[in-house]
Amino acid sequence: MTDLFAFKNLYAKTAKENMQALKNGLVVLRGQSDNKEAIEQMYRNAHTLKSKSFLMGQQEIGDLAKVIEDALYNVKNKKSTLSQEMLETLTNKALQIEKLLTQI
Amino acid sequence: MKILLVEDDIFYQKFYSTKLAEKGFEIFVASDGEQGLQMIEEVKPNIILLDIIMPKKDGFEVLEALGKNGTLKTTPVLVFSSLGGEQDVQKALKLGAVGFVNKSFYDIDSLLTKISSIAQT
Repeated sequence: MTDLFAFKNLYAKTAKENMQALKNGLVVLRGQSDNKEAIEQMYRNAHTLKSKSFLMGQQEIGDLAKVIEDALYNVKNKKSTLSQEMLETLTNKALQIEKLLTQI
Repeated sequence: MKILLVEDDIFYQKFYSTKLAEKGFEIFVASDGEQGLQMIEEVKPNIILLDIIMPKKDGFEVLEALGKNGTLKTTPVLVFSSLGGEQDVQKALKLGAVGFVNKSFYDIDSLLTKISSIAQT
C-alpha cells in the first residue's frame, strides 16, 4: 500500500482532469447529443478514471466511472442512443465522483 | 533491457515507468499510438507495453501497423490495458500481441514474470 500511497497526489490531480474533461463533454452533449468527438473523448476519460481508481483502491469512484464508461461505450457503438434521461444519469454520476474526489 | 510504454494517461506513465525503472529497466514513454509508432523506430525497444484506448491511434491500430511493417516479428508486444473483455484480448492476440496485462491490478511480480518470459522467447 505504501507503494501506491506515493502516487496518491498524482492520482487525485489526473482524476480531477479526467472529471473536468467529462464535465466539458456533458456540456457539449447537452447542445449536440450526437457529437462523436465528445462521446469518444468522454469514453476515454471515463475508462481511464475507472481503471486507475481501481488500481488506487478507490472502488466507489471506479464503479461510478464504469457506469459512465459502459453507457458511452453503448452510445458510441450504436447499441443505445443518448437520451435526456441518460444525460441526467451521467451528470449525476459525474457529480458523485467529483464529490468523492474532494475527499481524497 | 529497453521497454517502450505506449500509454496516454500521465498517472499510468509515471506509475509504471517508476516501478519498472526501479527494477532496472530502461523505460521510454509514448503518449499516443502515433507517437508510439514513431518511437518504436527511434528507440528499438526490446519489449513494447501497449495501451488500447488512446487518442490518435488506438492499440489495435498500432498492432495492425506493426504487423504490416514487420516489427512484430522481432519485437514482442504486451497489451497493457484495463479493457479486459475476452473479445478485446482475443482481438489483440490475433493482431499479434504476445500477452495481456490488466494495468488496473498492480502486481509488479506478475508483470516482471511476464516480461521475463517474453524476453526469453
